[in-house]
Amino acid sequence: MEKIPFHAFVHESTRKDRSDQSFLKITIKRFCMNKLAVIGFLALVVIIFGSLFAPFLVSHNPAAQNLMERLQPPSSMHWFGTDEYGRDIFSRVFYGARVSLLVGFASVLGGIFVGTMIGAMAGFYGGWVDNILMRMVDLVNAFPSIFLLITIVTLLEPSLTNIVIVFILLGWTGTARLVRGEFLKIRQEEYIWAAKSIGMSNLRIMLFHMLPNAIGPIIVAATLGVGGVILAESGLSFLGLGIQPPTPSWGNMLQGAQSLSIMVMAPWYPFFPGLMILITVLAFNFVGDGLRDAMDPKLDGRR
Amino acid sequence: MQAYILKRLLQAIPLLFGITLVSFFMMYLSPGGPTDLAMDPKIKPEDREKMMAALGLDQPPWVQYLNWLFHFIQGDWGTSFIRKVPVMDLIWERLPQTLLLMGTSFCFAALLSIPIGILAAKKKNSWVDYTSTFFAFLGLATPNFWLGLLLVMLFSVYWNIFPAGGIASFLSTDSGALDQLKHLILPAITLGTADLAGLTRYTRASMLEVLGQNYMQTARAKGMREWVVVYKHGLRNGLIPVITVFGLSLPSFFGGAVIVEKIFSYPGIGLLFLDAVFQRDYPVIMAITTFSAMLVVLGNLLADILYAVLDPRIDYK
Repeated sequence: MEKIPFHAFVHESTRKDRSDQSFLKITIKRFCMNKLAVIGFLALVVIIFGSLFAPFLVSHNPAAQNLMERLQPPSSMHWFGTDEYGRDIFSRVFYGARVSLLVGFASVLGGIFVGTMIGAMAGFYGGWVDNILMRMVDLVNAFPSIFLLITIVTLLEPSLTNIVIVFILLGWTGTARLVRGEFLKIRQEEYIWAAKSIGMSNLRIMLFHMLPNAIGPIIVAATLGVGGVILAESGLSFLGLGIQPPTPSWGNMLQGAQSLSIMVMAPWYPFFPGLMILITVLAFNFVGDGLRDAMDPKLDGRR
Repeated sequence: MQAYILKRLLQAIPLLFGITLVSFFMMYLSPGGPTDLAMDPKIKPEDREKMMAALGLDQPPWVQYLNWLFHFIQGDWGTSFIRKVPVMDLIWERLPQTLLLMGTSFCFAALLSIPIGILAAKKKNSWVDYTSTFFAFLGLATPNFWLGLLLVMLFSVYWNIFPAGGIASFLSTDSGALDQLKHLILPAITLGTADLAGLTRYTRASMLEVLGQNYMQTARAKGMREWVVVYKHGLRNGLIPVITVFGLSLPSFFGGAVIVEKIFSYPGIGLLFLDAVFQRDYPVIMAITTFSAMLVVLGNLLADILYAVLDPRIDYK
């Protein structure tokens, strides 16, 4: 017998309405109505493109030292001034964005991947699997992250890869809890029973039936997470335990700027890298909150 | 209620063991330390083995762990490689300073966030609400080390109102307490700002929920004055979740103290920890990491118990 496609059973008019109102379209529409979220999104686009195309946008080599031009104030030549080695702060800020964003995105992607797998297993299987995995989450969460971060980074030697590994090692727990909670809810849905009754494998149910329904909160958590990692990484680099000079990162630029003599002679030097961190984290937070509101069915039409 | 508290206490025990296990194995896997010393080619292999045996390093790891745990529970947290002093003494010496700093910034955050949060909730969608929301967003996204640097630049370098670091001045006309307070203000603001922002948002959300409850309408219907309704009926319920958040923010205060103490050269646990990190003083690093985790478990426990005590609606079974 010839297979009849499912949509053949759905009335033409209904189908049209549905496709006009897909989840993605509704979300985008509602996201665009949130001014702060759109501003945050545009700011992120500028920062990301600025860091990707930094070599074409800035006129100075971020590593080029010029001892004749140490600690110059902002000018048409050096928009953000120069640092203690006469390097151009504007170009260092843009090259620093590459490192900060790379660490942020890589750590969050890794953390989301690990956290989703563990949370999915805990939520799907429940029982002792859930119990063991959640006790692991409790254990990782028990350490204030900065102590564990610093300790592991000192054991592993600070390098970009190691820093990302440590952030993944400590960052998966939030996603794991979130995904577990979503999966516990979704597990009770009828379509999961239906999928089980036709003999679908557990992996297939988890990947294709449960995960798509839990993806919204995961995306929101990831967006907010990038801001958090950027803050933590810059703090670590500020202490001299993160990205090592001469590679510029927002955190280690501030480390160079913290001496009292520089604060007296060149107050613009600590100002700009910190401002970039603030704007970037704020932008990720706005976009994350905007996405959350846009995907929340309870807030329908009230925003 | 007692049964609930006892149950929560018992649940914390395996977690504490887990913490010691993680701490021990980090130390076990760390490069350097006494075994590195034994790699010195001038030391004969027999002597090296004798030394390892004397330190108990020839035992299998789990025996070493149990040994370490046995000492740890008794309060013997090892001896600092660099300072040659028991780690416990170092921590006890520095702890009061850190607690003072945490307490001050905690007061700063609590005393400002609760009134602002209530006001923002009462006047929802007014300019008060929008301004507080704006600053809360800003506070949550500001890196604390940058805020610290800016505060030092403004208040110490330009205006010279507050000292840039330390806990006491060599030459000061102020009395001891005033001098100490002056040294506390900038670090406390730096440490407390993020929590101030978070708690303002939290108080606002909690109060908004309470203000919409039926018992608030009932209280108004009884003819009570508005401030009695808001502050007596509303606040008491609205603050329950906020108080538990204070318990949960204990780790962020303790962790934040590391960076803040570094900026202000404030001699507390955080600075002790960073010094130990740069000197590779593993016993100190491990002891403080373990100690911080125990503090978190304690904070969570406190938050849970406080919630149970404050909210009679919780079902203890």
